[in-house]
Amino acid sequence: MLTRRNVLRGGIGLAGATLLAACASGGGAGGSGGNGNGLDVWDWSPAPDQWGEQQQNTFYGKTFPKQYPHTNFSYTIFGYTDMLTKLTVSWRGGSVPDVGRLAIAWTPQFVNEGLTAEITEADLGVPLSNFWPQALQSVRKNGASSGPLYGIPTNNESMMLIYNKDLFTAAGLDPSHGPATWEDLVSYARTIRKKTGKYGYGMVGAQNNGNTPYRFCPMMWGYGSGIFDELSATPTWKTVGINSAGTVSALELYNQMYNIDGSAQPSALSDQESDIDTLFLKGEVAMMIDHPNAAAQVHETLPSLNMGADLIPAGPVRRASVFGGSNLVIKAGTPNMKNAVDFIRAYLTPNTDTLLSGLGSNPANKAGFSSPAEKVRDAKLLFNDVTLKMMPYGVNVPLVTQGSQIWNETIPSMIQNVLSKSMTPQQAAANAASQIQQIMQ
Amino acid sequence: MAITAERAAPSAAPLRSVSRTARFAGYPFVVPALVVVLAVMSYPFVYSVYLSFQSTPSYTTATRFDGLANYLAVLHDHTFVQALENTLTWTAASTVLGILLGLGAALLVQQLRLFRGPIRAALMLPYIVGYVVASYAWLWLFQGEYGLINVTLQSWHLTSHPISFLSSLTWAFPAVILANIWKTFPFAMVMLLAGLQGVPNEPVLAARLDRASHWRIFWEVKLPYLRRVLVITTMLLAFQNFNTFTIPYIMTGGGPLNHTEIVSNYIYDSAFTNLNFGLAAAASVIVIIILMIFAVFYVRALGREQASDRRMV
Repeated sequence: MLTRRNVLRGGIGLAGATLLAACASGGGAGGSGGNGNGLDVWDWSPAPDQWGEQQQNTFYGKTFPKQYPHTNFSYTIFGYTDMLTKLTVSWRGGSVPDVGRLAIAWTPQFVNEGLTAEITEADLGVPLSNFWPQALQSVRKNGASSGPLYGIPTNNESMMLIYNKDLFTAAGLDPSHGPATWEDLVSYARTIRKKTGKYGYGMVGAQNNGNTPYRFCPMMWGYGSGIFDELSATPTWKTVGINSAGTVSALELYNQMYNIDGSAQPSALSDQESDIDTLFLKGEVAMMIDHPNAAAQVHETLPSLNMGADLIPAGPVRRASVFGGSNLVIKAGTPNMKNAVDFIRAYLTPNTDTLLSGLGSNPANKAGFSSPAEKVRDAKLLFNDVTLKMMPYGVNVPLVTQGSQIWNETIPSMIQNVLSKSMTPQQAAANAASQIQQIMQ
Repeated sequence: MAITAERAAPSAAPLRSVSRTARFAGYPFVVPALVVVLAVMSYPFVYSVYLSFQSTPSYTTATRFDGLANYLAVLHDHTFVQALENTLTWTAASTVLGILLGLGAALLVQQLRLFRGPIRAALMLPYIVGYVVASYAWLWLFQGEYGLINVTLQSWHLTSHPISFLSSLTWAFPAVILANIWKTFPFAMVMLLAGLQGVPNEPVLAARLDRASHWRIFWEVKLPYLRRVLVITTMLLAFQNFNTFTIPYIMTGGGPLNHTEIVSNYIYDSAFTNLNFGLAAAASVIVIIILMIFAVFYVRALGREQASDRRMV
């Protein structure tokens, strides 16, 4: 009978059932299950590298499931910019995945806080000497130079200097090589601006943009300064070094190009990497620092563009580039540890690792360089040899939990303060140092 | 008639009883959805408030009570203050100009005799386009070297050199506000067009007979009828603008030097770049309080308009 009491009773019962059902389905949201037989992996897409995407789809969709047919395997491929926030929220909530692939810059915030499981050389089945030392440093707690690993590198790369040979020739510069030093680069840029009316150097200066320090830090490191003490053999990541003379010199060179010579494009403060690619394609910019596959992409879009590539210029102290790449990490305490290790072993097989590095990176397992896949990559990539020559000069991004904030906010703000003439280089460097000290407290 | 009355009389009592039961019969159908919606909405809200009083020192879920520390940190953070000022300017400018543009477009569409449908569809286009698409479209339009706006300005000899709108401390904020107005004005247009179509013809015709000008007809006849929809649209647009995230995030990332940073971007960066969830939660609660003030005005305005409608009836 439809009485008020019965109606409310029914309503409450139904609501309870709904909530229980919701909770029950929530508990199983892991997809792969927590009985030790499952495996949930999150990765990010190498788009716009289509060849790399194909290799990734083949590995996740066919190769690994075929190799381990009894594993309840599920995977999700995110866009690059989505991966970090999704994993931050998911692992903070104690949820999936069992394994995630993280850019080096994201790794410390998971590794340093004990959220990732230790991986040993025996687990991997690959000698650790096969990996770059900087790469291994990025998966140790607090960026230590030795000690246990809490992840394993999958791919590593360095940027290079790409230039427009025709603009070099038009400006009376030797197109057979790029500028050897940063001062040469500033001088080349000035000459190109004067002689051709085009911008000599494509400057990336956007705020909240990780690509901004990717171009600035090699210059700062070249002048001997670090964000912390990352240039030392055994960095502690505790001493803030950004307010030293090297940073000021690098900022002065940026200021020279942007505000004095006008040899960098005026939109630098809002330009990201892709904007510079477009300007380079249009012949408006003569030199840019970019990823290993950038030249191949430019060539594919505009085969008539006459390009050259060279090492990133050296400073008076050293030559440097950002040591880029990614790591696979296993969630600490996952019940699917065995499957996670199996997955990593499958991933790091030399040929597979090389295929999965796509055109934007290189295999972290150096055995991959002599694999058949490397021959395919080498044929597709322009100037592969140049980026490989840059690898030993790679310096890690800040391997501290707060690294993303320092990298994406503090350093771009420091550059913007100088380019917008809001601060002198000295003031901007001192301001950045004080911000970093505050962040690290 | 007598027969009808006789037949109607006995059925009156059961009808009342059925209607009382029927009133409650709806609850079982509504309660589950209500509980789920409340759980989905109230849990994050309550958790945010809880988190705003917690210190979230590391990446893990470990938290400890920290009193008002997060609130004090937010209020002393120069970037938050700047973001809040920017948000208020952003909301005021986008709302006022969006309403004016929407009203103009609504009047234009109402006056049109030819191509009314296609023009209305064209004016609706910005609203249909996604925020991300709109943001990238405007990003390219404003691009400093090859953007269409710069190319046009130069070809019309209005400027000798390209203007880097999004890199300029002066131009960046007006540029992103303009993109937002373009994206949101069709909402005002649709609402106000519906309001205009509800204006009775008689007073307009009477005013025309009295040889009132177009402006006077609009100001003294149409506008009073539009008042209610104008108030509601303004409030809704203000809420929408206050909560915007995508346009400044994509177009400028908050730069240059936080000149286009608004609170939703600040909260996002605090949580997901800086991993300071407590601080982000405190900033969110402050935003909720501000929005509740807006909401009070909205409810009061709505109440006043309803009361005024009742008096007119």
